[in-house]
Amino acid sequence: MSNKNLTGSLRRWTSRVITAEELLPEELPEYTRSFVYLFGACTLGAFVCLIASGITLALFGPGWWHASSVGHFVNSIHFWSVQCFFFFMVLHLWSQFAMAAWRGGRNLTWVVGALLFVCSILAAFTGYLSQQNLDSQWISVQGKDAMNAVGIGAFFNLLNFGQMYSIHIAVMPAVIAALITVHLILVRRKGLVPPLADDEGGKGDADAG
Amino acid sequence: MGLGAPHYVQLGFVSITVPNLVVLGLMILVFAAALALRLPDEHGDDRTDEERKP
Repeated sequence: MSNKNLTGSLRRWTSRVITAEELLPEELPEYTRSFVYLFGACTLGAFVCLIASGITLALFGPGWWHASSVGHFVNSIHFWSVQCFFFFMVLHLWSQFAMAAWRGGRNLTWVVGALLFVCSILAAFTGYLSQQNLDSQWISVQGKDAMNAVGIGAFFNLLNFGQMYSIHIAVMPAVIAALITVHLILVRRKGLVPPLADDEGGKGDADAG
Repeated sequence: MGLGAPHYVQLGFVSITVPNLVVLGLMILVFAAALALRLPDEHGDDRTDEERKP
C-alpha cells in the first residue's frame, strides 16, 4: 500500500532528486586527479571555517571581538577565511569558465554558482558594515548613495548596524548554505565536468574509477 | 584599519592598491601551478600510468 502522507511523498521526492550513490560516490573519474578540481572543495573548506568562526563571534558579540586578544584572534580567522573563500571561489570560477563547465546539461549548476558569487559579495559587504570601525562607517555612508540610486534605500539602511548585522549573520549565511546545497546536488547528479580534450558530449562519467 | 592609506600602482587608466595587486598575482600563480603540477595519487605515487608500466 503506497503512503500518501507528507513523509512518504518527501522520501520519494528526495530519492528522485538524488540517490545515495550519486550523493556519496566512492570513486571519481580519472580526469579529476588534478589540482584544478580542488578549488571548489577549498572554497567549501573556507566556508566551513567562516561559519565556525562566525558562530563564535556572534556568541560573544562586538565588545569581545574588539576588546579581547582572543576576540581579535577569532576575528582575524574570520577575516582570513573570507580572503581564502573569495581567493578559491575566483580560481574555481576561472577554471570552470576555461573548461566551459556548463556543457552536458550543467547550465543550472553554472547559474547557481553565479548566484552564489553574487550572494557572497552581498554577505561580504554586510560583513564590512558590521565591523563597527571607521572603515564600516565610511563604506556605509558611500554605499547609502548606491542604495538610494537604485531605489531600495528605504528598505536597506546601511548605517543601521542592527539591520546589516542581522542580514550578515542570519539571512546571507542561510541563503549561501542553501545555494551551496543545491550547487553540490547538481554537481553530483550531472557528474564533474570533463576537461575539454576528454569531452564526449560533455556527459562526464561519475561512476568511472 | 589603522594601517594608513595603501600605496597605489597606476597603469594607464588602471589604478590598483599594492595589496590587491599582490593577491591578483598570487591567484594567477596558484592557477598556473594547479595546471602545471600533477596531483599525487593516494599512495603518494605521482608517476604517470606510462611510467608505472614495467
